[in-house]
Amino acid sequence: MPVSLDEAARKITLSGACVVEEAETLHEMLSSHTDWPVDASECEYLHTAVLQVLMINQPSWLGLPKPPHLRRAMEQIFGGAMNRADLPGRA
Amino acid sequence: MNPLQIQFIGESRELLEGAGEALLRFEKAPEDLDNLNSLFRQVHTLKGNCGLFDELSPLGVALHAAEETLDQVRAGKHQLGGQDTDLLMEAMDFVIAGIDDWEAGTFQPAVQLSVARKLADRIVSARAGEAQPLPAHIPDNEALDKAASASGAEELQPWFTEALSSLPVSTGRLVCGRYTPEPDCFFKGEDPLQLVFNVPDLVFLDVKKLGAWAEPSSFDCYQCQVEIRFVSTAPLAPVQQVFDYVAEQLVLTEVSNTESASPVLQATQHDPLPESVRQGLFKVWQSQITMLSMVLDNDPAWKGRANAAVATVSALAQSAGRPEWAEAARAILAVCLGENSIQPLQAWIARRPAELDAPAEAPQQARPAPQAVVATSTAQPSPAGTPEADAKGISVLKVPREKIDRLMELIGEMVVAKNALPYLANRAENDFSCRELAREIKANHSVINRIAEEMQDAIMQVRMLPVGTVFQRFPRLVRDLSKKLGKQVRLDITGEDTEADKNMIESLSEPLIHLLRNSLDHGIESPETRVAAGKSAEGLIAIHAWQDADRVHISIRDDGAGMDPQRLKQKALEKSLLPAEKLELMSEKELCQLIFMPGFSTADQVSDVSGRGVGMDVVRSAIARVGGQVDLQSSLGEGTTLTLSLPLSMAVNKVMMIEVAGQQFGLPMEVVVETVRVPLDAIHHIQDQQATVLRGKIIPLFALHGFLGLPQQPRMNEQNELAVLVTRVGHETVGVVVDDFDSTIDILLRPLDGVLTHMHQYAGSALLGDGSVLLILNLMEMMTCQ
Repeated sequence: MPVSLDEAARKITLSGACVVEEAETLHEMLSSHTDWPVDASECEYLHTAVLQVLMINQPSWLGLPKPPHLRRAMEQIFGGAMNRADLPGRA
Repeated sequence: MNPLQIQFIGESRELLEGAGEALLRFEKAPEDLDNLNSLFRQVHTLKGNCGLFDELSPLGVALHAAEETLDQVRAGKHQLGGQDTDLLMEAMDFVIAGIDDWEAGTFQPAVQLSVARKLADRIVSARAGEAQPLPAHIPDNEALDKAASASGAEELQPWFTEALSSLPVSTGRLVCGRYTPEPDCFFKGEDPLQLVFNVPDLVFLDVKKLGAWAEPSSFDCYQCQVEIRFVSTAPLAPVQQVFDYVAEQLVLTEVSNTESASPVLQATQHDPLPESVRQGLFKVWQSQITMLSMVLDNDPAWKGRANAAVATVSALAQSAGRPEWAEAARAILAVCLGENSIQPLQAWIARRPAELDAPAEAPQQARPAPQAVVATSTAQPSPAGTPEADAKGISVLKVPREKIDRLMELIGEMVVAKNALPYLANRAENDFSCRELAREIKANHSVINRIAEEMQDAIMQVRMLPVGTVFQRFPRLVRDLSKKLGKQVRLDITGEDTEADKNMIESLSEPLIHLLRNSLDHGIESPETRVAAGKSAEGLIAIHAWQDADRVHISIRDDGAGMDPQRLKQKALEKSLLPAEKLELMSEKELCQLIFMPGFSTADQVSDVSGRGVGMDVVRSAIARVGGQVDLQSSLGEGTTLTLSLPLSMAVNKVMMIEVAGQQFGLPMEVVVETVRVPLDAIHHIQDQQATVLRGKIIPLFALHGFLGLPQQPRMNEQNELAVLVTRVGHETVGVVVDDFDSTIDILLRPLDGVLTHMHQYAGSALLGDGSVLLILNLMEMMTCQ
């Protein structure tokens, strides 16, 4: 599952290719776990529909995707909402 | 027919099938919005595809009317009635027929146009109340284009200034764009974000909400509600190219930013670089882009990498006589060290000097990809677009079936050809007394054998199709037939994901339709009869597919009247298919099997649905031809179940070789149960029939010599034992007496053709490794001929 609930770590994980079909699943997860952060460090592809869901739910972030183009875009989009110092991979 | 046409035909058929299914589903569950949307989408895509070819405009007209109706239904303005559904199906049929004709080259646009108009009028008038006249022609892209270009580029300015300030560096000319995807673009398979990632030389990207968004609770995930803004340093034309298909949703403007304070790579007034030098410089520069794109900020070695890249650029600058590159690189390096991030350098280096790019004839080739992640950092950089995008583009291949068939034939021949190696090994050992060589050949054979088997397996996988592809036509068939027959039938299909070989599935199609028709026509009773018998008025036909070891099973079960063994017996008597005494001795189950006999038809009246023409015997032999079996179980008043069992694949067969009167024959392994040696005194004679008892069961024995018309008697071994092959023919276990057993081999079965076609006793022939021909026996036919 590209979008999954990590009960142990109390976080929502995005990994691999998050295609359009995942949008609804993610939306439900984010709506029912409003305080869980999102870890997208293993995410390689993000469909616009999934991005939209992230934009409306404004979660806190545990990790951003590794592909540089995606990472840069996400930093721009969620720039205000994320504390860069919290993110692994950032000095 | 050009490749576009071929692809169009293939795709359209898929879409039509999908739309037909969705329409049937909609009839059953009108509240299923997903289904309605998918239906609309399919019709919409079809219409768009038909628009590719001018002569197919009649199909477009019919589809447009259908699409309009669906759109109104979607908007809740119209309820789809039975008449609408019929008309929509008619429209689909019209398009199917149109595409068939077009493929055959017999499509007459002028004639079809008037048919299409009439059909469209009927669809529109069925949509009474909100009926609208059909527009004269459908698409009007020009108007859209005009509207898009009218909305000014000046509104781009405010955010652009903001975007620019966040850029690490800026250049003389920039293209900035705002892309507002259609709300329902996700349903067209579009991914706006990914599209923007494809923009060459992308330096800035932001996604903004469009208008005020609803609360998260009422948010519609599948409506695109964002716009994407981006800045690129590439020229206008290649950026525009990316958005060719959504041009009307895009506002693009080119801005020059001359008061930039940052170091800039500008096209200078130097003499142009010689082509060979340019290519060399390009490669080196490109390798630096690739190398740097692999570096993340958290990489402890980033400073070293950055220094190395700047040193390389400086050296390049020197050799090219462009000292300004080196200055710019050093300035950027200072920025990086200040920000403690490699990103400014990554962005800067990605925008390599324009004069390094290939001359204008190949702008695509020279497109650098700042977002590219290239797997190897040292190897030659890939000059084409982003590797990610390329990989995604080819992850699914559409391959013409002939090519796969060809592969299958080749691997079949390979399997047979490799059988020659053991012969060779034997010859090396026996004829040339080269034991060493024989051993090596055998070792090689086992390697080739393994590879060939794996290859065969892999090709087989490619050819596997879900059996559901055959079932697709059934809902429509059941719907139409049950309407025609005045019966109420529910079709229940399970296990449609079960996979089997493409040829197998194709050969199943006709027999299955025939069985289904039989169930509908003879099995399911009329609603009144059913109610009188205490059943629900709606009959059930359940199709279930499953895989069991190396066989696929498909059962068709109905809860109809079932078969009356006594009536079958009567029928068989009337038609004098079997002598009365024999019929008297038959069990009920055996009586039911009578319907598989040629010339048997039980329907009192021949309808146009089933009966007359092909009978169950044809079904049985069609299934038997591909190595399958049909099993029938019926109980009066409760229904009938027919079960087909088929091998997963039929390309390469395993056969057991046997020896009869000095000749070799093959028997398909499917029929072989076991091989036994029966002592002469264990053979009993029942009248003129021989039999033996094997584990408490009587097995009738037949000598193959007799079947083949050979005068010799079965040969015994030294212990006075006969070689008996216990086989399963239909439902019976039969012992076949042969002279000797031989090994089993893989063969490529070739059906007999030419003047030998009618010799049904042979399933076909195969070529052996030593070049001789092996005849494969068809035991079932031999028994029936007896």
